[in-house]
Amino acid sequence: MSEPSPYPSRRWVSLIKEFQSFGGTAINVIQREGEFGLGLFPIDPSKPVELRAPKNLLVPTDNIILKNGNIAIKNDEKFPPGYANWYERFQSDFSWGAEAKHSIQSFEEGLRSLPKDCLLLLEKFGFYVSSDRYPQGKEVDAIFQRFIKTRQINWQGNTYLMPIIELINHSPRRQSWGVSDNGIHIKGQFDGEMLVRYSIADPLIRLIQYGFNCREPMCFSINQKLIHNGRTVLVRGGINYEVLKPFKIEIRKNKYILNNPILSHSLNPKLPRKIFRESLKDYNWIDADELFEEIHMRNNIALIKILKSIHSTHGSVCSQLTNACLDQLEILRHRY
Amino acid sequence: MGSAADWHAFLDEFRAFGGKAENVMQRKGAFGLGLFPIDPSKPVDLLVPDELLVGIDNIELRDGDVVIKDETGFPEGYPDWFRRYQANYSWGAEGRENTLAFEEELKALPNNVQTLMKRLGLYNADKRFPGKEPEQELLQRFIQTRCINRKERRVIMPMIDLLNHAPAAKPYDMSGEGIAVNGLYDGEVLVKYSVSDPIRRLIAYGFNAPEPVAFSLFFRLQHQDLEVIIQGAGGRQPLQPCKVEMNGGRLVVQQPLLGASKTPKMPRTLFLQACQGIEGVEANELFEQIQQRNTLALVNLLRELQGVESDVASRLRNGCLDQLAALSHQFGKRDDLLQEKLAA
Repeated sequence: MSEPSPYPSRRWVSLIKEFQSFGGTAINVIQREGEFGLGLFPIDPSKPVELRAPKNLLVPTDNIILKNGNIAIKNDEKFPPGYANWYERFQSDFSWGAEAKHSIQSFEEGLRSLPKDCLLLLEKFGFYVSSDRYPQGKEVDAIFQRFIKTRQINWQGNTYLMPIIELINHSPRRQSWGVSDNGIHIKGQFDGEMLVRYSIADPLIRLIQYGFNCREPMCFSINQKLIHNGRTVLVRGGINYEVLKPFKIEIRKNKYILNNPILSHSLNPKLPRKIFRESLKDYNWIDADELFEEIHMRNNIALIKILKSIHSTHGSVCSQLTNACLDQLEILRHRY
Repeated sequence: MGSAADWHAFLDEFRAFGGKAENVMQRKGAFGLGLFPIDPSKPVDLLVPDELLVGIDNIELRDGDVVIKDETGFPEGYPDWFRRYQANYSWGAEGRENTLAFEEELKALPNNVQTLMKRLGLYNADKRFPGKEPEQELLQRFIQTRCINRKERRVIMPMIDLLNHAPAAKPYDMSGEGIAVNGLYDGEVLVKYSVSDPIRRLIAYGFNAPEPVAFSLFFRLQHQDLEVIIQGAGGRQPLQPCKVEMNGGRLVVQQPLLGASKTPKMPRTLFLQACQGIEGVEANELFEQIQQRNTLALVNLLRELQGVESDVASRLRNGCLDQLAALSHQFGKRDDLLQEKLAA
C-alpha cells in the first residue's frame, strides 16, 4: 500500500476555504486514513494545528435530517448563506458518506448477530437496550441516530454536531475539546494524528456506544442488585460524568441506590475506593470496603459470563467485544 | 471396552480379591467414559481394599500393557486381572489415547502461549513431555492423573480410578481399610479428586472444571521495599493461612488462596492472618497486588490465545475464564477470625 499523500486534495482545500469564509478556522490540517480509520492530521507537524467551529456554525442535532440518504440541515435560516449546501457536501464527502455510515452499519449488524445469550447479558447489565437502539422504522434511520449519538457534543444545554472537528478521533490520554461561549476549538502541536478525548467512558461502554476498542483508564459498574448486611442495594451502572466527586445515593422503598460508582482507575488506583468510602460515610450499616469488593466481584463475573457467551463465536464485532471485556477485566483490577 | 457380560464377570473377579463394585457399569457420559449406577434408586458401593492398591513405582509398561512390576504381596491372579483391567477399561480403553492427544496439543500451542505458561509456573513442555521416551512419558502423565496419596505412598486404585471428577461431589472415603465411594447417584457417579483450581485442574488432568477456589500463579513482585516471590500452586488445604516467610532477604509467599466461591471472605482473612507480625508488609495492599498480577496474567494469556484454533486452546480459554471467575470470588474479611488470631 502506498503512503498517504501529505498534501491535501483540491476538494479538501476548497472545503476548508469555504469553511473559513463562513467564519470557521481550520489551519494546517488534512483528513487521511490512520490507525483509527479516517482522521485529521497536521499537514506540517512542526507547526501548530488550529480548529474552531464558531457557535453560528454548530448544527443543533434536532435540525439535521436524512434527505435522499444524505445528511442535510433541515432549516437553514439561522446559518450564513451557502452554509447548508457546504454542510451537505462536508457530510457526504468527508463524514457520513465517507466512512461513518458504512462503519456504523457494519458494527450494528455485527452487534445484532451476536448470540442471543450474549445480547441478553448486555441488556441485563445495562450496556445495550435493543428497543432504544433499533426503534421501529427504517434501518438507515437507526444508523443515522447512532451517527448523531457518536458525534454530538453538549453545548449550552443543547446537543450539536461540530463541522470539521467531528472528524477527529478519540484518545483517552488527550485533552478534550475546548468549549467556550463562542464555540468549540482545538489548538496545539501534533506529531501524528490529532486526537481528543471525547468523553469519560470505560472500555465496554466505549465499544458499545462508539463501535471501537479503547483502553480507557477507568471502569464503572454494571447494573446490579445485591443484599448487603440485610438490606437491598441497587447499583445503577454506567458513566459518572462527575467522576471525582462522591456519587449520589437515593433511598426508595427501603432500597439503597448507588448511582454510577467508579470502580477502578489505572492512573490513580487508590481513588475509586476512596470515593466509594467517602460517598457512603454517613451510612453506618454499610461496610464500604466489603461492598466495594462485592460490586467488583459481580462486575468480573458479569464480564466472564459475556466472554463465555461468545466463546465459540467468530466475527469482527465478537472479537471487538472480547477485547473490550478483556480490557475491562484488566482495568477493573486497577484499584487498591 | 467389552460387553456387559464381560464387565460383570470382571467385577466378580474383583470381588473375589476382596474389592467391592456394586450397582455400577462403565459407559460414555458427559465427561467421556465413566461409571454410572445400574439402578439409580439403589446405592452404589465401591471399595478398593488397601492390599489391592498398586504403588505407582510398582507399575510398568510391558509390550504396551500396563502391568504390576513386582507381584509380591498381591492375591494370586490379581496382577493378571490388573493387566486386563488396564487394557480393557482404563489405559487401553481411553486413557492412553486421551493423554497423548492432550500432550500433543499442548505442545502445539504457539510459542508465546507456552512461554507465558512457563513463566507462570503452569506448564513446561521440556520437563513434562520431552518426547525422548514417549510411551514412558505418556504412562507417567497417565499415572499422575490417576494416583492418590494413601498412607504416605502414591497409589493407583483400580475401579475407583474410572470415576470422573466434579468439584461439588464428595471426596473419596479414606476412613476405612481402603478407598471407598458410595451413595445414591441420579446420574454419573462423580467424585472430587482433590483440591485444585480451574487452570491447574485443566493442565494436570486435561479437562475443564469450574473449581470453587483459586490459588496464585507464580510471580515476582515489588511490595514497598521488599522483593516478593509468590510461589504459585494449588492442591493444599485451602482454609489454612498460607506460609509467608523471609528467605535470603526476600519475602516468600507460598500458595496464597485468592478466591473461594463458598467462603469469599476467607481469602483475604487468611492472607492477613498469614502476614501478621511480618514487618514491612502492608498485607491488604500486597493481597491486592497479587490479585492484580493474577488477573493481568490470565487476561494476557487469553489475549495470546485469541485466534488460536484447537481443542486445547479452547479448553485453555475456558480454564482461564473459570480461573478468573474463581479469583473474583473474594470480598470483605472475617474480623472475628482476625481478632481471634491477634488475641492468640
